[in-house]
Amino acid sequence: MMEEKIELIENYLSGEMSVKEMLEFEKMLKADSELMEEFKLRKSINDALSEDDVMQLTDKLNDIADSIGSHKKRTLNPLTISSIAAVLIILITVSTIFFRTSKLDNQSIYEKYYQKYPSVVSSRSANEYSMKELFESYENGDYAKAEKNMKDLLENESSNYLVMFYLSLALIEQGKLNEAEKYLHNLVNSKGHIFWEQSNWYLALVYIGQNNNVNAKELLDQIEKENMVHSTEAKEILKVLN
Amino acid sequence: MKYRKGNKLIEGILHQDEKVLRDIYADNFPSVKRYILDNSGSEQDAKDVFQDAIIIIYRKIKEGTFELSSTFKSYIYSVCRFLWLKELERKRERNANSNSYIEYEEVPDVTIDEYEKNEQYKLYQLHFKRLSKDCQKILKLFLDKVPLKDIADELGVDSMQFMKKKKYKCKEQLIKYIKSDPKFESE
Repeated sequence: MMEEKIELIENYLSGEMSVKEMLEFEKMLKADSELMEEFKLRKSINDALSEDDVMQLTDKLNDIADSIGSHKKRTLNPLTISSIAAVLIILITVSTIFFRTSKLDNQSIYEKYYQKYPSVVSSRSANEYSMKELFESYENGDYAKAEKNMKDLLENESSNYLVMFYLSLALIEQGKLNEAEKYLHNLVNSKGHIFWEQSNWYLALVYIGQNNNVNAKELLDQIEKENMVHSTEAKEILKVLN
Repeated sequence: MKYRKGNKLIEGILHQDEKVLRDIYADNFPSVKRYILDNSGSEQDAKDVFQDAIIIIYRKIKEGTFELSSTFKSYIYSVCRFLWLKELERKRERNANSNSYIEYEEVPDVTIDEYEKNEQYKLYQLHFKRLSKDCQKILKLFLDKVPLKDIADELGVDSMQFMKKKKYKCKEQLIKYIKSDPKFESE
């Protein structure tokens, strides 16, 4: 596979494309079966590598299996996971401090326009205990719990857009913008659900929060042009950003 | 969740509690080992299968699809048997004494999708661990959406161009390992 194509796939998967580029890439995918196959493989690999917990469990089970017999370890590095975690914590802390102290303009825009989205499910799905519980934690502001529950649910129903949408919001509420961005990308890329316009709006706000004005402007522009919800606000922000 | 919350074994697996995991090995591994040794497998095969079974069960618990209708002992035994029959089928060495189709039906809880996902992810994760520590770190941080600039700082790299190339090389090395694994083709 050509290096160019590989780069396209990787950029798409890591969310490094503008909305326009993403749409173009999706068109290419549909037309090129070889590209599609490679894309699926790389996506699946990324999903597998995101399973920190399973890799940790594998290491633990290897140790246990070794201790009950004389075989050599199949895999190694018990320290890797914890050192990655430590690095991540430092990076997140540093970037949060940086974010809080350096770019007040974007932050004030973000704070001015960001509003918690109301929960729509609390009464409607009261018969489904887990849904009820998870929207209760969202409504009560227990976003960490809401995040955990929603992720659990999403493991099972990966295309449940309602849960994905509220998970993004629970992440935003906790300041986990990068992670929220990932889910909002998915939502924006999958049309035909009722949270599509709202997802565009929140993704634009996340970009602002991340000081990613290039993507923010592009998306706000689209929100305004296509007259989506919050198009008036989008126009206002664009004036400030330009 | 479909399992009873009071079930210590299940909670223990979910929380990767070492004592619980050791107890599971102590109570269940001998019978699984016997079955596999009796059916043209080795002790290492038995260990691999047992480990896969726990990981599949772990994913099911995490996803809320785990349901225990019999004892845990018979559950894990039947999952192991299912996995071993799949392995034999793959090696085209199916044991003449066991009719795999009948045995598969005894494991209604493990779907082919779950089995295949486990096979794929196991392969990808195994090769990931073959990469250098630096490569593992870069790919993990990148997947966690840590900006490339911060990853470069962490590794003491000051050229972003170099960092991009390094990330690309790490990923392609992983892909190369995976694609050249004989198990990759058979998936």
